[in-house]
Amino acid sequence: MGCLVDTTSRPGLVSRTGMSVVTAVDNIVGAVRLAVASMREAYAASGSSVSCIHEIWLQQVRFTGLHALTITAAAGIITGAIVIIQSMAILPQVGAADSLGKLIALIVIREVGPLLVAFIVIGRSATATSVELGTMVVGDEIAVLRSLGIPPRAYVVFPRLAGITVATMALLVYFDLAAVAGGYVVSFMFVRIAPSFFLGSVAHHLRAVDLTATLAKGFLFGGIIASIACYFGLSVEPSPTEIPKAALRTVVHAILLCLVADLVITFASLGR
Amino acid sequence: MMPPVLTAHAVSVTLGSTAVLRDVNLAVSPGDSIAVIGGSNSGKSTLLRVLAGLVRPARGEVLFKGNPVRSWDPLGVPWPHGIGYVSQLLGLRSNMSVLDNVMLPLRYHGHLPELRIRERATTLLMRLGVIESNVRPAALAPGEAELVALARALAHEPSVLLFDNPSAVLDVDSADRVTDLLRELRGLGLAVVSASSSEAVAAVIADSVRRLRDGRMEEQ
Repeated sequence: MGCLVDTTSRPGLVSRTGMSVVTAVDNIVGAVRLAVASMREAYAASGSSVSCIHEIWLQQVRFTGLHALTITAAAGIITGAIVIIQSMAILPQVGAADSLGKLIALIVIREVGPLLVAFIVIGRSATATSVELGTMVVGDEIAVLRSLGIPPRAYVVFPRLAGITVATMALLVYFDLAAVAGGYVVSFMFVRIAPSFFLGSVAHHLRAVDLTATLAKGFLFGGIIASIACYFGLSVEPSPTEIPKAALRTVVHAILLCLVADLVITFASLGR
Repeated sequence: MMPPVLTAHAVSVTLGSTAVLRDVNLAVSPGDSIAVIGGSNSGKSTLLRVLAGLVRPARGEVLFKGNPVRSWDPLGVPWPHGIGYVSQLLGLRSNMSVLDNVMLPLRYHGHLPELRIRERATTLLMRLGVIESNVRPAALAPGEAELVALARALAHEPSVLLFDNPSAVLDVDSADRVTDLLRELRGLGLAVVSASSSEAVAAVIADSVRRLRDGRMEEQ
């Protein structure tokens, strides 16, 4: 009996992995090009165009930043509390129970915070952006904007890029403050640490390079998330079934790229 | 006779392995109204998109006022201000009101003060019989939404209007308003190219009809 599946024409694991890597690199290069071109076109925009772009930017900051404050605050408080609870279980064994502030500074503010905020932004804004832009392509809005002399890169992409980047940085600061608050509340409940001692410990262990690295991560993650979301949103084929695929590709690429960027920044800031 | 404002010279378009347009020629002069008619998949909408500079032809060229398309970049602006295009899908911004949709091109290009922009957009909507201008496009009937898209395409006073599938003119009242407005604008030099599968619609909106069959323009 003949085989129902033609296995001879299927590429092997190595070829498929290679093709996936090439496609991923191609997508990343495309997203970077889109972001750079959008900045160039927005820079060239004149007075009234700028106010139209600014209006969209404001809407994006409101959606990505303001509307995500509650979930970010909750995530920050819970993360700060979890880190402190786990630390209190372990630290007495290694004789460092007074280092709770240090843990908040090193683990939450420097490492966990930027990634969790990035995941929140990916889950809320990146998916929404790629779906919105995909819908604009399928519904012919992008084509109509072009016909009206409105450049989609300046009017559609740039305000989302700038809005998501600014909002991610702001959310990160907010998350860190919430995590410190959450960490302190738990510390106070269990070991009665004075606020001045706890905050002093956080401040003492938080160096300028940590703060810079954290904000750099917020900036970079925001830029990565927005570029990827806009790129995949605008890359959909004119069919509604392509839109969910664009959202899926956005999430996968944005998570991976943020993790890679985090690794690079962590290495770069190590030992400084 | 006035020189053509928009010309397609021997335009061919291939999508995948399918030839959508084959050596199509079309020229429209100021004040003309041409209807391109044909059945489904005859290439009417693609021809309008080529004329709008939105689809790059595999062969041939498109000239607007004697100039070729500035850029075929898929996210670029083909003709900065000269063309009004009503897409078959309308492409109205769903998160903006009807009035804001019509005001958008004027606001973006900023050639007029805000008060004049609002006045022009409101006048256009009133002329076309769209009363509800503060609602979102989703709240409108399909025919009304089409009139909004038409108003937006005309807002920046284009030299050429490309109107894909003008079904709103099937409604008698709307048909009168649309034809009156277009007649007036054609008197001021507007050229109109519409695409429809209905000869009745073509007869209402145009004074010359061209027929597309399987991507080829039939001889007149």
